[in-house]
Amino acid sequence: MQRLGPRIFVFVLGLLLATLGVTFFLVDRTTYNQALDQIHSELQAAHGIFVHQLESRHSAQRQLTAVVANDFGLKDEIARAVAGSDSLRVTLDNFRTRSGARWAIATDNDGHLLATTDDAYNEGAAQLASYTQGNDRNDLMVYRIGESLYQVSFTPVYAPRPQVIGWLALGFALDDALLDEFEAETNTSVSLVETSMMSHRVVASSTSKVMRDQIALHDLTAGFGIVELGADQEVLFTAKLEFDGTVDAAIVMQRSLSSSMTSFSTLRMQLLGIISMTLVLAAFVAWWLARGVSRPLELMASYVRRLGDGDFNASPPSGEKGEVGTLALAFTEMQAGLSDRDEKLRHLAFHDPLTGLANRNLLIQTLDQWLERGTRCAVIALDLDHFSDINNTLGHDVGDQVLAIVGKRLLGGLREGDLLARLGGSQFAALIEAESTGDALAASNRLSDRLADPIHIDQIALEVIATMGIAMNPEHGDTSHTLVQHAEIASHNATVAERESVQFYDVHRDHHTRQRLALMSEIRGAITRDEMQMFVQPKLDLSVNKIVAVECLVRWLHPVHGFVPPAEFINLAEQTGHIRQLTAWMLKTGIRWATRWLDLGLHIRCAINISTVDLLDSKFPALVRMLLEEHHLPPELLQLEVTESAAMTDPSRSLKHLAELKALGIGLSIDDYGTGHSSMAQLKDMPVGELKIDQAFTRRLATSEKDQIIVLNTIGLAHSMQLRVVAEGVEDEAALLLLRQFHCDEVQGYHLARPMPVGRFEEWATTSPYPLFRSDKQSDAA
Amino acid sequence: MWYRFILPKTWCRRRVTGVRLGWLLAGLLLAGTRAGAAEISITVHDVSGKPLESAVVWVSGDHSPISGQLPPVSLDQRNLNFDPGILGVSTGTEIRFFNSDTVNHHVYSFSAGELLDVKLDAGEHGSITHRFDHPGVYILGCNIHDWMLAYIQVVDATLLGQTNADGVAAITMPGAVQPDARIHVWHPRLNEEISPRPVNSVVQIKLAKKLKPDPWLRQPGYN
Repeated sequence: MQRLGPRIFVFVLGLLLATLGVTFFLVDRTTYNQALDQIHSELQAAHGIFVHQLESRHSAQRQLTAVVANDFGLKDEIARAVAGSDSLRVTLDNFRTRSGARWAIATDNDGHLLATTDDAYNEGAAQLASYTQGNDRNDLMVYRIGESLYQVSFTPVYAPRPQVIGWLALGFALDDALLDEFEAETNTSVSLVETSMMSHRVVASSTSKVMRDQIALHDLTAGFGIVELGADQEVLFTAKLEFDGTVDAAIVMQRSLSSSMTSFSTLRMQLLGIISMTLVLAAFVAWWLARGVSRPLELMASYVRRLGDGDFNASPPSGEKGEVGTLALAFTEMQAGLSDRDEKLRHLAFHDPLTGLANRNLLIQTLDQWLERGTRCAVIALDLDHFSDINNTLGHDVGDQVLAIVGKRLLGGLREGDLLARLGGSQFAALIEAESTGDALAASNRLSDRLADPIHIDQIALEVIATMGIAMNPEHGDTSHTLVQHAEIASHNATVAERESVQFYDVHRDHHTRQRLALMSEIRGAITRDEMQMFVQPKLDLSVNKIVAVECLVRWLHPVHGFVPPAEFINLAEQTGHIRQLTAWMLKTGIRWATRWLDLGLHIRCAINISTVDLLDSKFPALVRMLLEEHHLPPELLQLEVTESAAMTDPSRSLKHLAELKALGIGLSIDDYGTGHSSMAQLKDMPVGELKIDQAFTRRLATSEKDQIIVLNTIGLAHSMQLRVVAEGVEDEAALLLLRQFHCDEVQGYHLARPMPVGRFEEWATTSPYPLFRSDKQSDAA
Repeated sequence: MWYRFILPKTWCRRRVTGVRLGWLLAGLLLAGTRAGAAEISITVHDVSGKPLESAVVWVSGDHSPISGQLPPVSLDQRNLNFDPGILGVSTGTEIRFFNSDTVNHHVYSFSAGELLDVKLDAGEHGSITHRFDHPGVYILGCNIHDWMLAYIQVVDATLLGQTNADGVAAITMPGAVQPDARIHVWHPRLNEEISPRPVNSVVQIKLAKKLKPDPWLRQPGYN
């Protein structure tokens, strides 16, 4: 009931209902009382009529009795009568019948009973006889004989008057029939009740048996009363019956209240009808009133709600006057202000205040729209290299100016429809339509062209170099967030990659996939749970045509993901530092196997890859020495493979540790030669004895003359520097033949054998065309 | 002798003013009838001193023999009433019934055990008689006309008379007055017992109590 409309409705209707209710109550009470008063007066009147009727009857009966008493025959009988005379009895009975009396008695002048019409009355009659003396009066006389009341008239029998020779009494029953007749005439029930202190007895009545019982129980003091009879109410009027007689009796007049209320019930129904109609009408009016108040407010409310939801095109409810109209006007003004503010906020929300370019939100939003439309597109993430240097040296003001200028220039490098956004810091992103990687590359070139000229600020010419990462839809992601994220990752890699300022997203170089993150945490456990397996790939010494060494490789059989490629987790392990445990495990395992083979008389060298982290770890040489000593393995049976880039990360430390390892007597080799930035000039100082030519040069060796030249010259150069040369990725006999011709020292590859679990190496050796190098023959060779 | 019963009544009704003249005439008549006989006069007044008319007066203790048969006495029905209304007769007197009215009458009496039941057609003229052999008061009524009422005082005495309008009755004593002779007075309206009085020439009786209501007043208003 908080709403105004219903409250008005309920109030108006409630007020009216209360008023009408009180009215109806008063009218109902008044009519009821009036009905009751009317009944009362009617009952009193009826009582008057009844008493009068009794008196009239009495008067008539007296006259009748007098007439009878004048009959000569009767006089004759009485004059001659002796007590118990049958003749007089028959005569009396005759006159009783004529007069309609119930009984008749005759006495002599002294009050002695002469005869009665019915012996049943003898006793009562004898009693009555004593009353005869002097009872020739007009008063109503009622006597009880047996259980019944009788209206009695006495008259003297003259012979002639004034000589009284006897008395005649006629008794007229006050019975139900009489009262019924009365009720038929007056529509009022009447009962005659013999009253006493103890109890009442209904002698005669025109009412039902039930009602008689009620009346007998009723307090019959004179006056009005009400008796509940079922659903009906009976109004009683009691009055003492005044008469000369032997008993106390009361007359009870009675009338049904409900039947008297009938005329009033019509009035009641009409009143109820009027009230109902009034209420219905009032309900309509109240509804209309309530609506008149609440409807404009509701319209206002929905208008304001729309404003709140940011719909500034909403129009205020029109045509309202008064307070609501004023309110609507105020809201309209507020709407204008809000709209203005909202515009600014929206711009702020979707734009970068510094450059005025779109921000990440707008980029994502627009990209979402494009993706929805199915536009093939690319996101080019762009980062200014070493931008922090500008900030640090020239101040943020200059930095901001640079960013603003860069933004403008980049904008000029885009086509219409493309979007340029500043993601934060020195990071920008362009959203372009691109059907192919070529389109994307072209766009990235246009962007980098725009930055080719130095930026002049305060007479300082600043060179800016941008690294760019490109993520294509759908190749590199199908949601806006992944596309932008992947583009940024790619740009990050581009920064890292030297002289490659543009990079497409590469999932393998993405160190941030979720799986990788999960694996990272599992690497340590994987070692202890024996999920890591060692694989070995044999190396063939071309000079002796024997298997002289194996490269140890790690394989991870993840219980859930299955086989995890080393490329997936080695990088991770390097980043998290777990590579140390991994390398240690490899060393331990490799040394154990080499020792076992040596015990079998096999002289097999184990080559193990070590990472930058290991190489930079000052404790690593000590670890290697400890393991060698523990297994009593001759150090020449252990070989460590280091990539060029690992060696070059911190050259001085690397060289120091490499020297220590070399001093242990173990072999060192440069892995993946030809893929990095390494040059012979850099290698010349490194204490390594071996060079591994990357498979990129050997895989198509048989067909590529250029590769042959490179390999031939590399081998020559290496030999001239006292370095042994191992060729990886030998996949066919032709390559093997060529490498023989080139005097390559060792070869390794699928043509010889695929990497195999270390446990199966010995079994493989039995089927290999090339025998294993045995230690007993070592001395021969040496 | 029966006229004596009738005359005073007639006078009373018809000559209300001639009281003194009546007295003279009565004195002449009485005086001429029997010479040497003593005549006594009995006067009855009610409590207010008014003369009581029609009272029956008789002398008891008179042993003088009844000479011959008692003359019959007439009782007429006139103007729907008995005429006279009060009659004093000696025991054994025969009453002759007349009907001077143009309507029938039915005379009855249940008094003193003697039943009288006589129908008198209009114009009946003394053919119907009834002899009252027992002393007592006989009340006569008419079965047809309730108001009709007559009292007949039957006494064992031959010396009797009735008061006139002046309340005076005259009785002629035939011989010497017996010592135990007493004078009796009776009237239906008497409310008291009047003790018998010794015989004297003039007897004045004054009633001590008021008279009973006049029983004839109930006569209907038509004749």
